[in-house]
Amino acid sequence: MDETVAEFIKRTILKITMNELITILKAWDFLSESQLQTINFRQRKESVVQHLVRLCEEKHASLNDAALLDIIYTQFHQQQKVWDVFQMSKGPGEDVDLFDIKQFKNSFKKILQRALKNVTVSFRETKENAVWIRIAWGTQYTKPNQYKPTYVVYYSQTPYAFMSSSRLRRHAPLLGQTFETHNSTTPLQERNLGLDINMDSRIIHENIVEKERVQQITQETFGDYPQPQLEFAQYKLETKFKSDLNRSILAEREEPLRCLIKFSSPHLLEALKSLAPADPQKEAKGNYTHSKLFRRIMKLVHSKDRVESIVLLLQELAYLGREELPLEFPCLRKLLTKRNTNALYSFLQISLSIKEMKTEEYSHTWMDFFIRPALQAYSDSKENHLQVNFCLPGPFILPDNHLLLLKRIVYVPCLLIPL
Amino acid sequence: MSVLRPLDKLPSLNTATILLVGTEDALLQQLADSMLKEDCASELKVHLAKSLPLPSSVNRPRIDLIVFVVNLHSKYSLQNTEESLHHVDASFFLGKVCFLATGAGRESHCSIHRHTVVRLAHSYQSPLLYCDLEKQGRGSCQAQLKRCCLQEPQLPIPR
Repeated sequence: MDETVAEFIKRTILKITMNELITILKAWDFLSESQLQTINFRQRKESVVQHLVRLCEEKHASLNDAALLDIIYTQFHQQQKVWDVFQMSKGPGEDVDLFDIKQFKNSFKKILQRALKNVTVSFRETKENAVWIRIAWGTQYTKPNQYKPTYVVYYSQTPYAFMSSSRLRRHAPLLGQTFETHNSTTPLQERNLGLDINMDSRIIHENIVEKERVQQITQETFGDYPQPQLEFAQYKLETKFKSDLNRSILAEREEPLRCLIKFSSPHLLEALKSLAPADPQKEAKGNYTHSKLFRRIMKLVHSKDRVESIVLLLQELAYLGREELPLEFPCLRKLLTKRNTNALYSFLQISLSIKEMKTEEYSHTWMDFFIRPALQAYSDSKENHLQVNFCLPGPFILPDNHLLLLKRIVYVPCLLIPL
Repeated sequence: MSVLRPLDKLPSLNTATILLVGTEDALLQQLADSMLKEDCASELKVHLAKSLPLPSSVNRPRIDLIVFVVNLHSKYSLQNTEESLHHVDASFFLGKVCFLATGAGRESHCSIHRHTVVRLAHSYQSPLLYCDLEKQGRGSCQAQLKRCCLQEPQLPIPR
């Protein structure tokens, strides 16, 4: 076995934690059961690793096997990577081809190897019709660097491919090309899930039409499966300010306002999804004021809405927060019920800190708007909050529509608003 | 058609229909389930609605009792109830309307004061019941009280 392969296997195994090691080795399926049994997993990690590498040497592990181990490790830790999503579109008049995995793998490999002589390409298929592809890049003169590979996950029945971001960005268009020859996308099966209502025929829901409509919209927007765990979403917005009042300073501005809007939450998509109650069981988590907020947020993220709607949104959140927010956002409610002794107090902490920063894109001021139960404030760092950065060198808007001049603010301490 | 009237339809044979109006569907569902578990002299049907006016449907049987469910934790719930009350005919309030307040147990989470609901019930001359599904199991005692309300509309025996 090659020195480099041995080193690569050793480094990969060192990354795996002891409690995951056995699972991953079993998934790899390279070393047999009897061989695994000869290892004492309770020794120190270095000795275990050495023993494993020796066993791999005896079995003549190839670079491909090592790459497969790397793929499996990444599959277990996929959430540690940042993925870019690409959607493929069909050209007009093209037929839907049947997807042949073997042919796909062959041609993928061929295309890459034709373009760059030194690449290592490995594949692994999973149950959900996904193909995991690992590509290690090299140049014409150097061997592929196994420690900075790119991973691509392609779901054959969909037009989506996920690529892990890597510093070698120049390879992205090449990968795009390899997919062009494989526009095989059959549309996702039409799902037809009726509302899951209590089948007792003596209970009649008057608003069933509305409920079905909401459920259909939720399902169309979010799909049937559990949402991927997204922790924050960031949007850039360029808009002009329009005001009904007579001639406010911002409405007269010539240049558009550049804003950065960031939503963050322990599980952002589930939180947004639960805002649209469509199912009686799920409604227990939310309240109907959510639907208004949900519609507002969706409108905001789908269209270039005006700045004042962001301000209004913040106002609404602040208003809700004063009375009911800690109970209504699903994630926050979980926080409150976990530590019940502190649940008597529903303080809000709205902290406002202003810093001026310059980046290459725009100079902006930060306004962090934290809404969380005050007693959790310092202990728990994951909470729902809305962060809005206004890129504006001049006057600055606070949620209650006061206009503040930037230079006068240094730091505003937390405002505690007891219920 | 947008106003509910108590006597605009003929009663169905041996059936009583209750309409629960409230913003929280899960709560209404639980109440309906617990009500149906109790034995009742006549057959019981429960309709659940978010607010009034009801979407128009000709097949709805005559409603014998309306229960407005107000969640004391939510101002929106009270506002919804107040708006729905406009769509109920005055003659309904002669014993066919009942108010149910939930969430009174968790005082710290109440954003509506209890007196507000008491005054509301008083001004509409209708009884007010309290219910807390989390604490009292399934609120079965409340279901029984509701039965008492139902005793009043006697179903006429056809000749």
